[in-house]
Amino acid sequence: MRRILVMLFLMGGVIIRSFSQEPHCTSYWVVDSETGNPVADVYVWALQKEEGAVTNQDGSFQMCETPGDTLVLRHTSYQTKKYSVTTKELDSLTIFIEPKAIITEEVKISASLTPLNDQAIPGIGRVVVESALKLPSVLGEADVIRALQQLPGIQSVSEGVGGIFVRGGSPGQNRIDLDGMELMNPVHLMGIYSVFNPLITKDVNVYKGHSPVSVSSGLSSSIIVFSENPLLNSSGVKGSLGNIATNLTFSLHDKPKKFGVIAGVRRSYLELYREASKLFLPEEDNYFAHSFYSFYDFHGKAIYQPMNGSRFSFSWYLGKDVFSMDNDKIQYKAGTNYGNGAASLQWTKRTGANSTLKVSMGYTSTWSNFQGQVLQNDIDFKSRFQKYSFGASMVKTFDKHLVRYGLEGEWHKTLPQDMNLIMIEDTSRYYDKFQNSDLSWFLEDTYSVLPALSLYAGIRGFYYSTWGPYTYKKDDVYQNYGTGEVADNDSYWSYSLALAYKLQNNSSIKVAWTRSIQLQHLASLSSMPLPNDLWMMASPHLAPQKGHQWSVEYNKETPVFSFSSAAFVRLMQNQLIFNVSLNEKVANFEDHFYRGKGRAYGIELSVNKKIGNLQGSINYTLSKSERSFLQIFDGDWFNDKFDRTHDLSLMSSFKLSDKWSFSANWTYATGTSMTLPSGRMWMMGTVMNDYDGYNQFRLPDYHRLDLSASLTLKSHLFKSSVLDFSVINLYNRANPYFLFYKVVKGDSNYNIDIGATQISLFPIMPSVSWKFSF
Amino acid sequence: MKIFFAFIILVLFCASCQKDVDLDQPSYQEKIVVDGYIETGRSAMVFLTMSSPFLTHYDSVSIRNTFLNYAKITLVSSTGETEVLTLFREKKFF
Repeated sequence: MRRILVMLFLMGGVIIRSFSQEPHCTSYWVVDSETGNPVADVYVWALQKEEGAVTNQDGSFQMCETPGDTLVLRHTSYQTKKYSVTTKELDSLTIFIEPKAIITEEVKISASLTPLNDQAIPGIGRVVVESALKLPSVLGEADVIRALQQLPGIQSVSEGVGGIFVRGGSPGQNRIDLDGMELMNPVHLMGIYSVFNPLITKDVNVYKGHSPVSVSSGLSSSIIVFSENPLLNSSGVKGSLGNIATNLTFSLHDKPKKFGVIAGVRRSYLELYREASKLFLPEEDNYFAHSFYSFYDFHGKAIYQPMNGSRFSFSWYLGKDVFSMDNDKIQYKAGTNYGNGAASLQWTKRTGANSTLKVSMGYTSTWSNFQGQVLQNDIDFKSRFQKYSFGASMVKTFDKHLVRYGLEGEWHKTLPQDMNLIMIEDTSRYYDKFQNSDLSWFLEDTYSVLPALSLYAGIRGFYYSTWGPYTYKKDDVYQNYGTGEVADNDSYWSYSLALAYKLQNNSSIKVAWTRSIQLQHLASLSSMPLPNDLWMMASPHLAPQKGHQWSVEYNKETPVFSFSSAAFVRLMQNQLIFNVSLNEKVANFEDHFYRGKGRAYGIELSVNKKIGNLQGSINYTLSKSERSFLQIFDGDWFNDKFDRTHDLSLMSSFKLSDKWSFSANWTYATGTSMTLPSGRMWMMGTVMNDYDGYNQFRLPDYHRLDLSASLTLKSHLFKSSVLDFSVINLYNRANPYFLFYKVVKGDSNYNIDIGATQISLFPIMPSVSWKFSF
Repeated sequence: MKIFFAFIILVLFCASCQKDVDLDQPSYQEKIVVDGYIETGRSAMVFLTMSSPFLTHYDSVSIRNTFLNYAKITLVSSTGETEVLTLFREKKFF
């Protein structure tokens, strides 16, 4: 193995040398002249060359043949700057830009080395938290994932569904990473909010199915959330007070900028409503008195940088939701709690002028418990997922190559169900436990063949094992393995190829093909994603999810607008549906599933205006997502539950003055699919339903308008103090959550009407919140 | 597992608003429903009806229309005996 790596390396070196006569490219680094921090999202325009670029989150961008040209740099919070590039051919340049409040003419230039980006890969989306905070918020809590859901190819929010649906995939096909920690169930309030604290989050990146192999990914996407770097942040306290939760964060670092910590705590205070409502409402009509909800999360990151080029970073996350309800009238008493805990330690070391080593270890866990009593039946349900991981990787940058390679190991402990059912006539217990390991290695290269043409190729191999104790018995198959024995081994490959070509008029075309593997399944208990859904690793009788995606993307940048369009086709194998209505007792947990396949295809369009007082974006997705299961209508293709033909989101924000700014957000989407009986018949003296398809009904369309206004208050006490007013669902649209049939009896005996009744969750919701920092 | 599902649905019901909506009934092909039984010592019975679309208005006329009164039903046994059933009016339904 090592020999192959070395060989590939040497070949890379040969190719680099042979292309040294190509046009010269320069890496630029844009930094704040006051703080020295890199500035992301600066729009750069070369006047002579008529070419544009945007800085990435390290504040860097790359441009070729710029000597002698003039660059115009624009950013909302910085002064527009014209920068004349010297005629000397430099490899890298640093440009300082000044914040808007101060006017200086000084220009400083220094040299630095910045790595290339994943410039060949299509289907990358990005949310900067500043823009996410501008969106109208639900009950005063800003949410970065809600901003992510506005991007093309990612479904905009639907009624009460918190899952993220990327390009026709399901919520269990996303890998969500927060500062190097994988979070398996990152939602609060049954999915209404994500767990990412908006005040310490820096940005969110999403790879829509074409992640580079160096980035672990789910079948549909890899969503990577970064917190602020405390060493680059100014020390201070930030907080917010919303309608249901408070948020308090701090960031500090020592003088020589060697050690820094950033952390945030959020806690809901819905209990206050419970107590307050008891004073005004009679006991029996009071919803709050019969239910209890609370959540908290605590997340942070510590960075220690003993010397230049070596950095330790430790991040942690802990969060929990508790929900309970009791209603004597319907003999219902139940509670659920779920949460995540994760920690990760990373060491990054510059190992040479152009190479960086990264070593990391991590732990992540998610759990959900459900305990209840309904109609004198007791149920106790637990589900657990734990993972320990270790990884080491190298990044090497050359003139025309960016090579990454590495090794990762993971140990998974899964307890998909531990259930006790105590019914009047019967008591039963279900308990299933699985242990798995996977070892994977990867190698990838981004190769700038020509300044206009870059190529990406990457491959990742998996060696996956299921460990004992493991038992499987069915008919004449009997397998039994003890502790420490390997029940099954398998190897899998995922790979990705991408090509990007820059056209003359500042536009680019990208093409990619990715084969992806996902070793875990998320078994949904109902057709709605819920925090109680079960994670299940692939096992000897449950193959991992596999998929192919092909896509084409066209992007165009002008100084003011950016336009992007994409088309994709996906195939998915080994898709599961959890069979909840299985009546006979099944011996093996793996036999609880229907297995099938999926396919999805679609077109995405997006236009953005990111500078000026009036900013906005239009995102539209036209797509189709289907599934086929042999046991469901003989394998006929049916619409996925969350298949949406049209998905449109319009966002705009307007800055009226330094004091007031406004934003509006309109979402429209085709209704979700649902299975309902389509006919009825007489059978054995009663009326029976006739089903003639799965998910063949469409719920009414979803649409909603949200508005918000923010008022910046003058204060001597606070560094900043902002009041946010939001209205969600301004025209009080009753969007469907789900639907059921209702029989309405008429006057006479045989006079019956059958109608549909929908359940919706969110009426018009105004809210006020206050954000401050000092 | 079924009970667990019922639990979750109940939670959602308790915290929501309801509204009647108009839903489009997808085109439904009515099917002939054959429902019958044979018991020793009694004559064989077959109820012949048509299925009807789910989302409709029912009254005594539309229910009566679901009964299929014009059909020839022949029972054939494994030994080749045949018998044609005769139509009669079931008092229970009318």
